[in-house]
Amino acid sequence: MSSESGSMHPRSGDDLVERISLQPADDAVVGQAANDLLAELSAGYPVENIGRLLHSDDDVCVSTGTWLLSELGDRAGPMMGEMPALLAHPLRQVRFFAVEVVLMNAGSQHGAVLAQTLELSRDPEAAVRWKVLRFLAGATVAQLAAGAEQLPAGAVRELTEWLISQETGQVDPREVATRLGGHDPTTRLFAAAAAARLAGSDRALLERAAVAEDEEIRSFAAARLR
Amino acid sequence: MDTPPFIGELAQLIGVDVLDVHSDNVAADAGAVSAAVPGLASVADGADSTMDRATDGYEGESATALAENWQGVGGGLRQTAATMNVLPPVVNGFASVASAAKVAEITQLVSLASVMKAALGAGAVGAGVAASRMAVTRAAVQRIKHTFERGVATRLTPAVDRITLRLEELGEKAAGPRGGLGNPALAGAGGRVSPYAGRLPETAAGAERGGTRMGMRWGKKDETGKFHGDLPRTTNDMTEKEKRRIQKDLEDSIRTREEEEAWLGHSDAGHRRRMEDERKALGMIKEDFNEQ
Repeated sequence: MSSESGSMHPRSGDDLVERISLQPADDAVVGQAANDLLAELSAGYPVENIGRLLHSDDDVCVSTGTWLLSELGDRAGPMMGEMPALLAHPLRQVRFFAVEVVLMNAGSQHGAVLAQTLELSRDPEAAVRWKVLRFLAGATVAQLAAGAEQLPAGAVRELTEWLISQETGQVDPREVATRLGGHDPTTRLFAAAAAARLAGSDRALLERAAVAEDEEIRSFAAARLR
Repeated sequence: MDTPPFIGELAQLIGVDVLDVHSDNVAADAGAVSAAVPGLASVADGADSTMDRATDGYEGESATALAENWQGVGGGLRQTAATMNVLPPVVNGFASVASAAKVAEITQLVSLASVMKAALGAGAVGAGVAASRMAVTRAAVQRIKHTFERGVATRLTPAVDRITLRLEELGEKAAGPRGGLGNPALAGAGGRVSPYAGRLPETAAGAERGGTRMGMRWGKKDETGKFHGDLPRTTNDMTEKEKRRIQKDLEDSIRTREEEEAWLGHSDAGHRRRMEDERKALGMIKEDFNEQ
């Protein structure tokens, strides 16, 4: 849905990147320019050119650039090299949208980035954990396996391997239910992901997740049950 | 490579892009389908061994994925055989564009599409029956979703989810009185309804209007739950099916974006603007329906 951004002529992708970079504090400018830029990207403007926003010292530019990548779905692959920095960014909305970029673009060769994403299951921000839960529920087994391989020995690796086993081995719904009610929040998060992945054959687990003590799990499960 | 009419028809039915072409696998696909379909159609109970034979000629990852998936779906295969009367022509069409590892998934999709269309033809009772059957199919599809690598699977499974959800909604409103497999409109010998019967002329007309559609004119909801890609600015040239699909996608997308906004406590300017644009597009489609 490209528009003319207030001028008589559509702006080029470079112009739009420039406009966001020069006026990051102006919401009206950034909102319009970001969406025009999204249209440009859809039309073939090289996604690599978003790098200027991602490398900016301005938080709005970085956040807008990451959001743009998340809006590209599975066409943000060329920017996977930027993910380590974005997943570790101090702004939670940057980490939030970066998780989505990983979900849609990471392959088996991106084990390190996938591992970093899995580690965010322990992010201090509930919003990020909520996004990671969506990642855990939607990631392919290959993505999870590639990430697990790169994780150091420890809880997140064990939980990831357990989640994979829910796909590849014998499923014990009682174990998922027990984990949903466990004491460790990360264990509950992975159990909720398992509940979502198994919801095709057993919605009772998701219903149980919908009354979990963690808001991000309750919210996630309730939405899946709608 | 020309897109067989069945492909466009099924893709449109489930609201996804036409499948990618993997020309290297064309010959293998044809072999797999011709080996598998006759066995499946006639001996559903022996389907596992049939698939074993069908996969004998493959090597590598795709063969493993296909074999594992087939074992995983198990009863889903036999359930699929209930709608087998429509499978051969459709699968033969798919065989020219789909890779071998995707045959199992396509079979499930054909089954879903068949059930959906048959249910629509059978009215409310059929919808209830279809919803019951979906419970079985969902398990298979769920497993498929996580079995295959990205590609076709990631494009198709959200569509399957939507179909399944819609059928469940219908099922809740009209529970089938005879249980899952008893509806002759869906599964009974001699009483089955081919969802593709009589639809080819419409497909051909669609192809003439829009040419071979290797991509959608507008975006769609992907597995992030959000609508990604171009938003429609007009409903001109949009079929009723497309309008309904886009309406549902936009409603889901806006809901997801609102959830994101709630979690973050705010939206960046770009995200806010996108939400506004999606709401406008949704309003346009709703208004269009109201005017009809």
